[in-house]
Amino acid sequence: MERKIRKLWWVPIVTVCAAVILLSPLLIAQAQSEAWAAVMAQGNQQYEAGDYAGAIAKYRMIVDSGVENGQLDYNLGNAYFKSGELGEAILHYERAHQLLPRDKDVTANLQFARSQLIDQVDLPEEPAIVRWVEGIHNLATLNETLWWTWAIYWILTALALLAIFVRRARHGAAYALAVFGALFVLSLVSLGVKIHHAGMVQAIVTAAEANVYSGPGEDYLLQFTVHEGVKFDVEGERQGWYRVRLSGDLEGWAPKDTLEVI
Amino acid sequence: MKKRIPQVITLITVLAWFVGIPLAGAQGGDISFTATVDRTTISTDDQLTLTLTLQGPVQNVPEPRLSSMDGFEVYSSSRSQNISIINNQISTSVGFTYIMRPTKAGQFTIGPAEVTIAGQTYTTDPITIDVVQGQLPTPTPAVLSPTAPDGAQQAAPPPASMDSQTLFARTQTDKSEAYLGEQVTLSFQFYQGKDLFGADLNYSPPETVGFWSEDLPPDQRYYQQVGQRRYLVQELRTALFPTALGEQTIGPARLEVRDFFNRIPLQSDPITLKVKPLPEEGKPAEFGGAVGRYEVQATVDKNETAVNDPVTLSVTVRGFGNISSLPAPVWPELENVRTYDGETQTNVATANYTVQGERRFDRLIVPKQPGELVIPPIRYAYFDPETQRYQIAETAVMHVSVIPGTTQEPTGITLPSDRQNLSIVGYDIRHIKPAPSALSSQGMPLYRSTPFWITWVLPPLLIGCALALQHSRRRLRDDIAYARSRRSRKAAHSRLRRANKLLHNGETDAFYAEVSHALRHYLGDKLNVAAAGLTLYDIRRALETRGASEELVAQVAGCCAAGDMGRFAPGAGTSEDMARLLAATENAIAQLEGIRWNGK
Repeated sequence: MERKIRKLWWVPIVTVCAAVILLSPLLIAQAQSEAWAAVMAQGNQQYEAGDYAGAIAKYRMIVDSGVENGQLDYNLGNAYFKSGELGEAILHYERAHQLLPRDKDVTANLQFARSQLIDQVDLPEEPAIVRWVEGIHNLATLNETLWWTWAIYWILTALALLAIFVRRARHGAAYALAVFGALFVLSLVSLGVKIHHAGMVQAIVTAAEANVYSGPGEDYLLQFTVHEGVKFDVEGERQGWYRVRLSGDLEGWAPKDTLEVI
Repeated sequence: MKKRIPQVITLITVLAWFVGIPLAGAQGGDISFTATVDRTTISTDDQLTLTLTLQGPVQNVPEPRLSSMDGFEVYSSSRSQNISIINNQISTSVGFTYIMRPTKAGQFTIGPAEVTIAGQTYTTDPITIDVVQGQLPTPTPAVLSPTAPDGAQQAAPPPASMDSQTLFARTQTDKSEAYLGEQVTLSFQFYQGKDLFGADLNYSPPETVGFWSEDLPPDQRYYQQVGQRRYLVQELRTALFPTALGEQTIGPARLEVRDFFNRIPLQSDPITLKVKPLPEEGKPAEFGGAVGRYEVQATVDKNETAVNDPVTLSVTVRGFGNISSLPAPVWPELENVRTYDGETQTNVATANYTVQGERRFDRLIVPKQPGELVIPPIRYAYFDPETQRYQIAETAVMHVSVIPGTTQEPTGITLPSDRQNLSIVGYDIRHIKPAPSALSSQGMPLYRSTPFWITWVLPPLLIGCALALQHSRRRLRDDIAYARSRRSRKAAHSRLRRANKLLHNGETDAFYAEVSHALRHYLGDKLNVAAAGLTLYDIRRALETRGASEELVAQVAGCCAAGDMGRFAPGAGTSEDMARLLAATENAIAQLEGIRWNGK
């Protein structure tokens, strides 16, 4: 017995070490996110004092460290808007909108900023039913849709187990399975579209003007010029150039430094 | 053109008014039906615009019929409608525009055109057109019909030198000098000498500091020949009422024609207008600044009232001029009453490109004493710019009898306060959000996380296990052979455990019985037959047919024989023999498990 105990002396030490190693990123992250929150509060103070450039510097510091936070992007968008940089403002509102799709402030400011655009890009009007379905689809972020689909999946599993083991519950479980099955299929479709969209790249014109050429180079024909804040779909890239598409058939190549990917 | 909204507002105003007034106005009125052409002499490679105008209190206007169209080919027709309400009468003006091309030279007659409304047929005068071969030196605009179509006289054509440009814009006013507050009609014309293929037109109206402006819908579209070129003209009109004296400048109107490759900015020349002051001579004391042509009417909401019960006196000023800024009348001084200002309601219409309508001023009169209350005539003075003279409109005398009221003291009379609509002064973005206590990333995409997807694999496994378990449970219940076979080993083991205990206790008979039963019952269960009926021969055969090795068959047979021997010949074996038999039986059963019992 004594030998056995001596052999196992390392178990508690390894357990503690493993716990520390596993938990330390969490603890560090917690400390870091509290520090970032303090920086954001400083930025807010500067914003409220009218020092928008100072606020932008503070917010950017957090964003550049890799933090993706909707409230932060929203505030940064506001600071850019107040300092007259419409393109950057729209870029950050778009990012905030992706992270907080149900936030009314974000939607309102994004729309307000878009109304200030120099270029009027008319998007084709879609039928009401399409807009309605899109509205529901756009209510949740990708992660939320994923969690929601996951929850339905486990409910389906539980119902299936109930139907297998409890003979009497089989009838009710069949109905519930049909309902949740339908929900599951819809969620899966929405999820698929969202994952597909996550792979699609969009960009906002952040320079005052962006020239769109027929090829990746300034020797090509200048097709059209758009002003800051316009949103493009990015369909490809070549050293220093993005292949961009405006609504419909308008497409061409724009220099990378005039755009920023959302 | 971005001027649709005023038109919609006018329509809503008209509809609101329509609901507000009783349909007292008679429907039957004068209906006029006229035809006009843009010119009477054209060349064979030119176009002719024919406009049929129907005006009057009509609701539904059918398409008119054109009887004679010899020598012409109609290739475009359009319809425009304008509803106006003047003096509570609804008047519709419907214009049908036909664009025609002559097919040969000669003299041709157009029309008469006919339209049937409520059983009655209206016709226009026929129009004679001279069509000459080839090009004409200068086109001569002409209005043929005796009555011009609803005041929409086309503006004078621009100088022919303009035809070098395919696109140009200009503004014009109908007069070069006007009195303060007199209507000046500003028209903006956009000349389009080529098809623009749906380009975006961005119109910025001219700067009109020193004027009160009112849009005059509908916009007009017509064709006009200038020099060698035929233009599509789009015309927007605005009524301007000067509010400042002296030389006033109407800024240039801008129009940006934009497609995705070009941006053509067009700009009209600024216009200077001389604004004259109203003459001092003959200015009545009641004059408050109304310019135009008006009539007034006064009404009270009741002819009999009690002391402290308010009566509403309404004065309606109706006519042509800047209705929105009409001053209130000079209220008469009344004895033994308290008076309060009431609401002011304004209805503006813009029929025939003239601003008109009515403005109602309410006054609350609260009598303090019983008796007869006489409201003297109310005089409303205005300046008529056409006659260049001041005029006074007057209302009739009104009588209100006041009876003694039940309450002596005025207690809590609720008066309509001058409530205003909330006016939005500025738009701004919404304010920033407060910093949270901890700022964490929300964006990490979960769909790239492997542990998360592992949780998606679990449910099918769980369901698979559940199905297998459920299947096996059902088979144990329903299939006796399966159930016996599944339970056989467990039963044999428990018997062997019991035998082991008996061996230690030295109960030899019982030990042999248990060992023998363990093996025989095991075989009986596996073969699904009664254990009692199994002979050694049956066992051998069954094992051999199932492919058991000879050694195993011999071992099983040996165990059976030894067990039987011990049972039927007591005291034959030592305790070592018994232990050996137990081990051999256990070993045999373990090996028998490897045999495929089901297959034959």
